[in-house]
Amino acid sequence: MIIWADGQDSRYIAPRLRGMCPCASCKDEMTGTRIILPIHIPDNLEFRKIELVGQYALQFEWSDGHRTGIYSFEYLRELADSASRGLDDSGHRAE
Amino acid sequence: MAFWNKDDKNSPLSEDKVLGVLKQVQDPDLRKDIVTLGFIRNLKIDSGKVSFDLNLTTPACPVKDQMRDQAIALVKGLPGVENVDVKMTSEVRAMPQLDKSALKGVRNIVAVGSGKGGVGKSTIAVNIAASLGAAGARVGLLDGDIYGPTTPIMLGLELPPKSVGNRMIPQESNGLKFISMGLLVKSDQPLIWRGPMAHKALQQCLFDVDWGELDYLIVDLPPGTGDVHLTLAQAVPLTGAVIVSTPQDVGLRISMKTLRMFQQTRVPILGIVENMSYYICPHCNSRDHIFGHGGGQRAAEQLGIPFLGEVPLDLAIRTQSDIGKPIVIAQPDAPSARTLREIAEKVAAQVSIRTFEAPVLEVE
Repeated sequence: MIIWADGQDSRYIAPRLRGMCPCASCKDEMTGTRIILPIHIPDNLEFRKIELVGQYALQFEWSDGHRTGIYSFEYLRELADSASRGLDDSGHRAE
Repeated sequence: MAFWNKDDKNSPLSEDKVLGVLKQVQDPDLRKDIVTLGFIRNLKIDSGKVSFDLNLTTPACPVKDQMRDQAIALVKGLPGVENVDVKMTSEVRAMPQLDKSALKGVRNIVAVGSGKGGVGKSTIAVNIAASLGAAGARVGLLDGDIYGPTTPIMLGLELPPKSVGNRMIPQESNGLKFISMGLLVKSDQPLIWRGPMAHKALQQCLFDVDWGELDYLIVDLPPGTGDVHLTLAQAVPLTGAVIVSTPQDVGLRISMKTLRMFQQTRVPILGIVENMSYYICPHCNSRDHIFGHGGGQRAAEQLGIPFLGEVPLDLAIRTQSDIGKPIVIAQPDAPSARTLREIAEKVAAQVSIRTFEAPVLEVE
């Protein structure tokens, strides 16, 4: 869960967030097409470690060993906001 | 007027009264009064003698003297005060996230970058660092310009640092602790590194060095937006970045890219320094704006970021750099040294503002 400076909070489900990984092996760098989709990720995937990247992003290490995705706070907020509008396929819910 | 009024001229001098008048002194950068900011320490009243410490957020505060004079005048104006003794002290605040990292003795990391090479970025970085050191701050300088390290020449240190175990010991010169990424290889050999090597070398220079306690660690970046920049922005919470440019439009336009990169990684821009702003003819003292005029100021205004100052093309800056003694140390009263010192003070003031404003990011 992220609590934002404006008071809103967003909850993230590990396998769904892993499926939206922005790194170059999960999303084609040139075309932006997703290589790894949420449906490719097993439901029992978990967060193993969360680290701050500078002051603009979070880096997750997942139980499948993947750890190259750097999720900027903007991206994380975007995912939560679009989920709360019911627009994306990532399955996040902003509660 | 009611008899319980605090300003009653007949009531004895009290701490409340002294603090009451000191509340009128504003810190112009932090926009709060010095009592609310907690700057008044060790306040003592011994009959007519008042003494206190004025503890600022940097020893390089540009408005230090004004604040002290104003505080003394206000307290002296209180009835019953004969003597006011103010001791100026300082304590540099730390960037919130740094205390949890491997660099916990370092309070602020400030990057100095430019869009293209040859704008005098290293000269500015060295002189900012040396000015802060001369003002009494504990300062480190990390030369991250792996492709053309000039900082070692400017500080007169061209030998690689010593190591104890797997920790490097920073060299010391001109009041600074210093590590150069370029000195990790032999000086007469070109450095041809792939991105991952630059990444690794910067991490070593940050985390495997005994920096000790530092108020400011200044990082002199290579030109442009490359691996070193990205690694720095990702590895540590930077308090901010200073952009160096020439007044020429081309130089500025390229600097914008560096600036945007910092904005994308949420590194606050502390301001723009315009270097090689003008040339003063040593014979007739006329001022020539060789590369145009006012570009830096205009860009800063458009972007809503501080303009830190204009540094002239001055032979003395160059000759001092070549002999390893920065002009702010060797000729502190020279006009160019004053300009550079004012820039350093503005940087220190911006750092103070950022440490008050920085969001505290916590991962649980």
